[in-house]
Amino acid sequence: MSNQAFGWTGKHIRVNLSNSKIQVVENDPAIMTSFIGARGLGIKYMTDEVDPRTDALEPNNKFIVATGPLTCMPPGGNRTYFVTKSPLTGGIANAGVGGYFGAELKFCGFDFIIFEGKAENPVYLWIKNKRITLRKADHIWGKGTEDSEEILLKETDPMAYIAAIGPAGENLVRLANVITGGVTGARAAGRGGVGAVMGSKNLKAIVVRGHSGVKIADLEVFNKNITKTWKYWQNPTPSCASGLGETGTIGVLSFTNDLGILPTRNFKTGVFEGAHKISGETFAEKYSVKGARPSKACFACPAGCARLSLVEEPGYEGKGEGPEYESVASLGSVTCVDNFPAVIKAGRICNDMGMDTISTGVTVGCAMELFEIGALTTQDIGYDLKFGDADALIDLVEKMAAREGFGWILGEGSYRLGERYGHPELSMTVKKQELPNYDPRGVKGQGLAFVTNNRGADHCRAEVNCSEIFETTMLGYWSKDKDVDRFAIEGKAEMTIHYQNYCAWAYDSLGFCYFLLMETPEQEIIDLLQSATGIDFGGLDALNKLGETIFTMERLFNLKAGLSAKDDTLPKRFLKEPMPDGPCKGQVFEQDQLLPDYYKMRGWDEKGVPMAAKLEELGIHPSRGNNI
Amino acid sequence: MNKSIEVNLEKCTACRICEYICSTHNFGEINPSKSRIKVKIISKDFFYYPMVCRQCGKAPCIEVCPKEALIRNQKTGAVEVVEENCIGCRMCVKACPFGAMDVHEKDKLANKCDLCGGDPECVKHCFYGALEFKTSANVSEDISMEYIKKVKQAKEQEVEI
Repeated sequence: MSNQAFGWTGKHIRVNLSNSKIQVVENDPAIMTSFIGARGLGIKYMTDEVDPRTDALEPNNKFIVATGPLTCMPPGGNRTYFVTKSPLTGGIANAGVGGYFGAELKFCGFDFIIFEGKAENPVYLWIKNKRITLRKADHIWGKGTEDSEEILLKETDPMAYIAAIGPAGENLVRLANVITGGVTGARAAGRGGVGAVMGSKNLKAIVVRGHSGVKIADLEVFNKNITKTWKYWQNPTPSCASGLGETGTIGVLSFTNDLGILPTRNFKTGVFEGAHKISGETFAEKYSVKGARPSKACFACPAGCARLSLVEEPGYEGKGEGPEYESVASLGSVTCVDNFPAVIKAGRICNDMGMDTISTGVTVGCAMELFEIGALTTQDIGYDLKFGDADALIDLVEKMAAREGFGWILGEGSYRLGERYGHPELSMTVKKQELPNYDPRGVKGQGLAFVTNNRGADHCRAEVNCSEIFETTMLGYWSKDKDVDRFAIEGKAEMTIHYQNYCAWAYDSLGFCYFLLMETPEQEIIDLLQSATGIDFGGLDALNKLGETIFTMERLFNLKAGLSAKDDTLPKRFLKEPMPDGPCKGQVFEQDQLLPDYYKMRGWDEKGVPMAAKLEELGIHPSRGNNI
Repeated sequence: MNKSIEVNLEKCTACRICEYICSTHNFGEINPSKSRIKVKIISKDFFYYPMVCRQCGKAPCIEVCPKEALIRNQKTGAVEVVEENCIGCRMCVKACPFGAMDVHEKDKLANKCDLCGGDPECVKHCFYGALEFKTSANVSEDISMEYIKKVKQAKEQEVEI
């Protein structure tokens, strides 16, 4: 199909690391139009080619790096997805990242890469336009992402972009991520332990530099469509996107604390007395390189929500990207550390070592609570581990990446930590993945998304709180005329399902950042997609159905991998312990009522298994192998 | 007086939409390597600078060109490439003190900013105002206004300057 050359580049790469065979393959037009890109493509190839029962860290797991057709296009098309089986959850992982890496991969002329097997010795993949080579990486194995990138830029191209793992990924830490950067600073494809999969394959990094162009089917119309979306983020219209430009995600921290949903003391409560010390306001005043100005954007993004920090306090000094809200809350309020320079430093260490800040912070929080109740002792750790101890936070983060001593079990994540010391219920996880920073007792739809998202507790695959707490008009009709009550449970199953299906195609498969397009009506996103690719995708209903298909295929992958309805649950804390104080005082998460509703509306049986009628409606035929 | 593209570098976020706009406008494809404006990045220092032709008054590229392939557009003030005269010797690339001169990947002929005929697209799409299109008189006026504001402030506070 000639259309394929618009939006997409039309080709992908297969790398067999076991025998160093590299193949450039033409995309299958039927797959591209059915699954579009990024997350959709990822689950398609994982379903077809990987046995879900495979151990995530064994060579027969595959590692897919995929962009979408709109990656490298404004507004905010810059996402790359790392799709594989997760060593943390045992189910599907799809970690997304912005920055410039995906755009540069497309400028090399490739939409996605599938890695198979395992290299005998450490290697990195160097793609310069059509020239693709595997190179030895022994000299950077063991180095942090920052040093690795510097060395790789010197030996490849000074303007190259890089996706690399740090020592955490090499050491198979189940919380390890992939850090993208290169000539620019760190951006993390954070969740699900995707960095450990790269580490298990002895793949240290992917380096890209390209000079080819990406074509758009109808450039004139596409540019007009971009201009139409301008109004949704342009100042001074109050909007979430322009707000993010103004404050960065860290600006959210005071807000969630005011709402009483800022996870504190390992999610015991939702208000943190030290919140003002680690807030966006304090950051802008003291540590932001450009003060309150937007300081850094991803490729083709007009908002620029990233912040750059400069810390001069002795012992914590350094420069780096971030910190973001999720990092500060996980490493800060969850552990009760209100020493901002220490929190920022812990985040920098995570970036350099290649570890997910959310899972890392929440795992340290879990250890602190285990110590508080006496399940962990001074002998286990080497010192008294108390909530609020900034030095302990930094010490444990370093040990976790190195998997030294007590750090070994920390590197397994909080669930395995809690289990080992007899208290898995103190691990704030769903499907063994740590919760992001919105206490579900105060945002019920978001909580339901944590419970049901296929990659475990996670906010990005359904940001229901856009309707519940943020005053955005995301997804048109959900909030426009409705006053959404964040504590209500009525209608939340429907809302969560809608968000999950919509995010699966509109952001995660197209390559758009949802921050930027959360206020853009569905039809305008479809217009952008169709004018870029020149393909008619059949309108909103067809695309929402595709989103549902992607979500359901991921669910099936998880079920075949051994996950089941018993994994669809928040920790007991949220179900049984009423919120002790703050604006959410007395609230619990009514999972017993929300979840059956959700299964039913999804067309799943009471065990959470998609029923035959639903599969037929979506055109999924699990009996015919995995092919659909 | 002719306008030129002025860079307010503290406002640049390195979003590179200028590169998207320039390459799609001039070449019909998204291709930063062909873009006539390029955001240069010094990563470790968080420093980004959109590099684009200064349209110099006494342009070294024009002076060094052996084939009269670079001429000034009298209407817009832009230095433009006359492709049929260009032999691709790249002397202009070396002569430009800003590294703002580029050559096409394929035919190696000179590739540079022509101010889109007097209404540069990149400036229109720069959200934070890192790029502005104005005359040098405007530029000096802005700088002197900033300066005299400081003088006024100092005088009000009776500070010696």
